[in-house]
Amino acid sequence: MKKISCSILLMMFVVSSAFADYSNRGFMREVSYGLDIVGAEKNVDVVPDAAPGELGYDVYESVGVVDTTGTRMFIPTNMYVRAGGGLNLGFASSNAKFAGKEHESQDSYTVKIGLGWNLSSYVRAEVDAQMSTFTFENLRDAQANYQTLGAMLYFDFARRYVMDGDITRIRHFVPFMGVGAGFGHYEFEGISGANGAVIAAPRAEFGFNIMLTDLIGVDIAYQYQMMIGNGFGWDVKNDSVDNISNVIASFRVNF
Amino acid sequence: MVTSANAAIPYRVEQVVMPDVAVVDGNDNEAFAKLHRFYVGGMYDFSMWQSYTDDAGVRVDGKDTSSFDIVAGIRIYDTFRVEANYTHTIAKFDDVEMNGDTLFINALVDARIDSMYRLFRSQYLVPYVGAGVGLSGNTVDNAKIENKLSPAVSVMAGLGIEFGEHFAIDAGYRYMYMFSPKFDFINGLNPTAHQLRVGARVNF
Repeated sequence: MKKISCSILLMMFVVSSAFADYSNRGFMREVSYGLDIVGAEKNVDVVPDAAPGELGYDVYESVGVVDTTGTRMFIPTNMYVRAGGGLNLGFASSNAKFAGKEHESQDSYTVKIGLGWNLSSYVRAEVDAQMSTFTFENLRDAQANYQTLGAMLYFDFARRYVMDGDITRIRHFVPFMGVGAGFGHYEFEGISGANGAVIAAPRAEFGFNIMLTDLIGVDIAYQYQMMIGNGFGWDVKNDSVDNISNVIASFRVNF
Repeated sequence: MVTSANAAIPYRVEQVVMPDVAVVDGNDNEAFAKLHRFYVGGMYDFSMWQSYTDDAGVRVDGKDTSSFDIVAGIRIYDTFRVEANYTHTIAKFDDVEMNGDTLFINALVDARIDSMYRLFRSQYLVPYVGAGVGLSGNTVDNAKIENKLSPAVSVMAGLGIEFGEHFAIDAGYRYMYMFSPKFDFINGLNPTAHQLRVGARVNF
């Protein structure tokens, strides 16, 4: 019986060895290259260097420690602040009426300051203040301005943060669009200027974000506003609907 | 919380219901504010006053002026502070000069990263945005005003450059809008300015 048991064990060992084919070299390769750690192949030093110390001293060297050169900490962010300015696109905005003639917006500008919340990887909400000053072609002494408070919902077309195992990558280019509304005060200065409350609805943006660092980025966006409830010019009705188009560049700082 | 013991078992058994464990955030949103709850500061203001034309066609051209700010604030959270802001307002429209003692209450949000990450990362640049409401007591040269006291509002954005935890340089922009003091020579002039500001803050 004992002989039979030994024979069976011997056969199992021979057969299993034949099928295993698991060399020491293969094992080392799996340990070195097959682990599910992004960047291990590049970073992990698996061969110990010659000990740099003198004989007789206890000299130790850490092997298998990931080189953190070029690695930065990922800081998740909930909110952001924004500040920037833009130019009005006269050709894509309504013309102001003055003495029966139309005048295109020229050299008009906008300042924008905002506070936002990163709701998810794709969605952001923002409240902002915009102050615009308009001047017009062939009408240099007349100007208009508006101040509005607005709220926007932005949708990023790609994840800002890409989770990749233990490593989180941050996209440096993210297109986005946004929709929202604003309200405020319009003033066309001078005789019979259209002054009063105005609603910017819808307010829409389409642009892209370029991240300069992990936290700071620049947004460049086209902004469209449909201005409701106030005329656009002088001696005009106060119930018209007019279009305003801006190109706005702003810094967005996440925190 | 203790419920009834099971008498069928010859030893005492108590069922203890553990309280719900709150999720630990790991971030202290007053980590910096606790250390430096208050701050004071001063700023130089360069103001660009906007021109205006009234309903009768009377026009004034806004001039550039220089003035100063003093702030004293309380840091409620690391990312939120409220400050009292005295501004010596100097507004010029052609040859009319208006001097104002303007007091704002400003609410500001600092883009300061969470305390748990500050252990490993130094943040020298702290951008901020904010808004303020206030009152301005005004006097005017070469004209008269009906209201000596006018409300004012502002929105602002800037960059704090922090040198350690006690001292910061502040550079920013403020849009200032003052409701009309009712000048006698022009109707409806609301003094409005784009202001560039540079100064310093000390935390204590």
